[in-house]
Amino acid sequence: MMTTPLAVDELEQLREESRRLALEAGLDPWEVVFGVVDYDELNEVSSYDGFPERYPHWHFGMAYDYFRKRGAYSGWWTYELVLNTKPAIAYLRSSNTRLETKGVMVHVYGHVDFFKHNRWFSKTNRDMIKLMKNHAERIENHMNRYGMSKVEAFIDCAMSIQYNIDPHAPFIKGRGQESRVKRHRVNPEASQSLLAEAGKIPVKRDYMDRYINPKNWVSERREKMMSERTENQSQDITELKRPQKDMLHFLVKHGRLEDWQRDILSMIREESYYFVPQIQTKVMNEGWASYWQSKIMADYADSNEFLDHAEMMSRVLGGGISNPYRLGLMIWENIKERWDKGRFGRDWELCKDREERKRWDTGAGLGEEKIFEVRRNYNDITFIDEFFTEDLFEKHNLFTYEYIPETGAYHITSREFEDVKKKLLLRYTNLGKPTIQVSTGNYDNKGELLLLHQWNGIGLNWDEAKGVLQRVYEMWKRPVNLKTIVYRKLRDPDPSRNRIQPELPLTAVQEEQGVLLRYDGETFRELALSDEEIADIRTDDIRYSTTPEEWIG
Amino acid sequence: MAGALAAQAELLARNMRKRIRKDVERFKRIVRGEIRQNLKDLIESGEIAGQRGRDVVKIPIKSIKTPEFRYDPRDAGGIGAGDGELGEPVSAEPGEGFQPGQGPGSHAREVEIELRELAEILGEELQLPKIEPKGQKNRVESGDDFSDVATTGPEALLMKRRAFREALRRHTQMETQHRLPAKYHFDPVVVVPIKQDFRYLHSEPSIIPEASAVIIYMRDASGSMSGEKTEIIRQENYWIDLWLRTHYSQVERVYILHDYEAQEVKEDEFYELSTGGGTRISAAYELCSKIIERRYPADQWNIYPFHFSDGENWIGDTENYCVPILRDQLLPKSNQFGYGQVTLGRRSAGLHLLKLQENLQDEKLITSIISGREDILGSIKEFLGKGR
Repeated sequence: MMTTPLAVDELEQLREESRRLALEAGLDPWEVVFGVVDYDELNEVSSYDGFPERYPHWHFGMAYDYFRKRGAYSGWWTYELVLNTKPAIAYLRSSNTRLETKGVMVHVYGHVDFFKHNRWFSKTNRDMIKLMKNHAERIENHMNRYGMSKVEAFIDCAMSIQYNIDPHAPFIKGRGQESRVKRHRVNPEASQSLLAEAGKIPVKRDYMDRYINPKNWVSERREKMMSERTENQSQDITELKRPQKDMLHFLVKHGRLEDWQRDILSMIREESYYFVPQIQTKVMNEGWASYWQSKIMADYADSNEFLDHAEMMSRVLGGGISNPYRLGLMIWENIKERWDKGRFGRDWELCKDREERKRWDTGAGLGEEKIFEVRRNYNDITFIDEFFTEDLFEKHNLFTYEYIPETGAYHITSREFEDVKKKLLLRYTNLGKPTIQVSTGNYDNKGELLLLHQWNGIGLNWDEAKGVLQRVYEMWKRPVNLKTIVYRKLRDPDPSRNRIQPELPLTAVQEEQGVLLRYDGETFRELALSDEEIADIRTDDIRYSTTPEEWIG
Repeated sequence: MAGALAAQAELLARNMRKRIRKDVERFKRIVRGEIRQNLKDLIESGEIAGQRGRDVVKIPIKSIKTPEFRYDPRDAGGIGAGDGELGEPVSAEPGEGFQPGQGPGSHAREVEIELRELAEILGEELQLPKIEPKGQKNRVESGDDFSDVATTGPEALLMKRRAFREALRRHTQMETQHRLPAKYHFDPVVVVPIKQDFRYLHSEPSIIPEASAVIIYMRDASGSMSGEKTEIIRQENYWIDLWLRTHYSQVERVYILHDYEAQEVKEDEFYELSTGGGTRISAAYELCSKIIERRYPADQWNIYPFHFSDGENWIGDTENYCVPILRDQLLPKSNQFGYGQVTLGRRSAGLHLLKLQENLQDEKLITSIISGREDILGSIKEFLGKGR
């Protein structure tokens, strides 16, 4: 298909049209500014996550190299890229056909509607272009002053822990977004009046105050707060009351860093907080945009166009459920259908008769309402947890697999819904990464850093963990410790079972062993920990292994 | 107003140009630096030569890896789709799967290198001179550039998917006379493509001037040449091939195996076959000469014969038969003639090499002794260092 580049007025006409379609369908997006760029420019834009000004770093160059080669050798390319800003900015590929452009624009409006209304984006900075530009300038200044390679090397270190933040922090009052350390002094008068308010529950109407904040109760609370405060002050400030997930925050505050390093670390943290909602809602967001694209295009494209559109969709939606576009779209369509047909609530859950379930249609017609509610309140984990149902699972012939060291291969371990869902959720829980917390910066009273790996039965990639510790050491400058658990082999599988059940991939009996991995700037040491010492990192969460018990021992 | 905004967005994108160039440059410098540093190891390990990619190879690069706290993939397991009994092994090591819209992330520890880039690095590191090709010739390109579509053509070039698409298009257009019902949920439609739906891949022949080269690989296949020695030869050939390929738009390859007799074989066989017989090198040289005469006229082709053996030869064969063929036939016609003596752990010249050096003082004859993997790099430099 040969295409000529779209003229500006034609583009504008397409924009008008797709915007109208999106609004008519019930979406409520911000204004979108569309830029048409050629294939190579889109690769550039993608490498910088869409931002025109980012700080200089080789990893953007690596991303570009990757996008370019992927396009050239695997034929896989990007159709669009949308920025979560207000107004939103979207880049389209100039070689898209007229129809593709229309479809992609609708898709974009889907994303922007999601950015605007999904709860998890409510705290993101919508003026990020400016902030990114500001970051770029600050980092360039540091580079001019302290040397390119020195600064770049520090960014390398920081990137190792760039997502060791607390995605929930922006939603908890008093924590989160303050990214630079506040150094200003509070003036005494203000602090007096602050003190008067301390311990009170804020009230909107003054006359309610004495009911909501009875005097004795307030003074009791105030005393408790004060005593806690003095208690805190008497301790080393790096000793935390409870472990903290936001390692970046901790290091910005307490790391032994030069000012420029502290500045860079705080910027990287800020950028991570901006990107995290996008990672947390990828399945939903891509599914949402694809859902509206296919719905709107199916309703409005003429049949000739529709075929091209269908082909484009089939290209984007290829692959199994590990393709977030596909997984998301599938779930959205299912929710719509279920709530349209009244397939929810107690009666539906209790109904076990297959035939009856298949025919079930109360004519509820609540689908549209439901999906808009879901797009407001959910993120990928809650979305999948609640709406990836057994019915959806049954359509896909899914299984879980585990690695068996004895055979050196991955084996199919289960075809149960619960197991598959568990593994699916694992991929999206905590961005698909292990949970690491800072416990204290004064471990063993020696000013050493102690990190905790909240253990859910899956061990760490050991070499990488060591690499991270080395980099964290660069920011802490004192020994760095990581408390975790590894598996230790107790005994090999019984060889006689091998003869009786040769079809089973038998595996060794293992035991969980607590380990303290310590890096002192020169060497690594691994110290065994007792069961009591690891009590604080053993979570009661579900265990993710699906290896059948009869394979063990 | 929206038009102005759109133009503004395009401008923003254009601003990235400068930036990306610098970032790519630094990334490449890191990658190239590490490859250059480890070139010897990369060559000796055979990691690259083992890959079958036509355009790119994957090379592990340590310095671009950003370590992160991640699960051990062996502990984490995963989900797959498809048939299979419990306990059945899953074929390949399952990766992350297809993830549209996602960059390489920080997982990346392997970088895809274009062979062209790799050859450049090789050239820089070994300070190889560029080759000046001789003899330009015009070639009619009818080959693999099927960028056009035609309505007629041979069966083998029928685009089946496209045919069904055209058929479906025709089908729906016929029905749209009365507007398709419920388009969003299709009932299955039976679509049968007819002649007018068929489309064929098509390529316009074009005439391109170009320099062509032929590499003629010869190898002693007798029993003493198997195993590690063959592996070394495979490595040598990979890098020689890579370098020559960057200088000629068309490179053909001929593989000749010999023991007492010589025969032309396919690439796979060249490295796999071994025979039990004795060794008579002149048989290979003779066949090589014949092939050149018949298929590769010297005025149109740049000819690069390479011969590898362990240095043993039939008594009297080198001086009485090989030398005359080389002197009268092969050397005058070739750009150069490379002989590699592969003798594990021994660096002294064998009889064949001694006699060649004794009887031929032609700078087109290049010899190299490879006593182990650690000699490969040096040997490549010897073979390619003349820039012929």
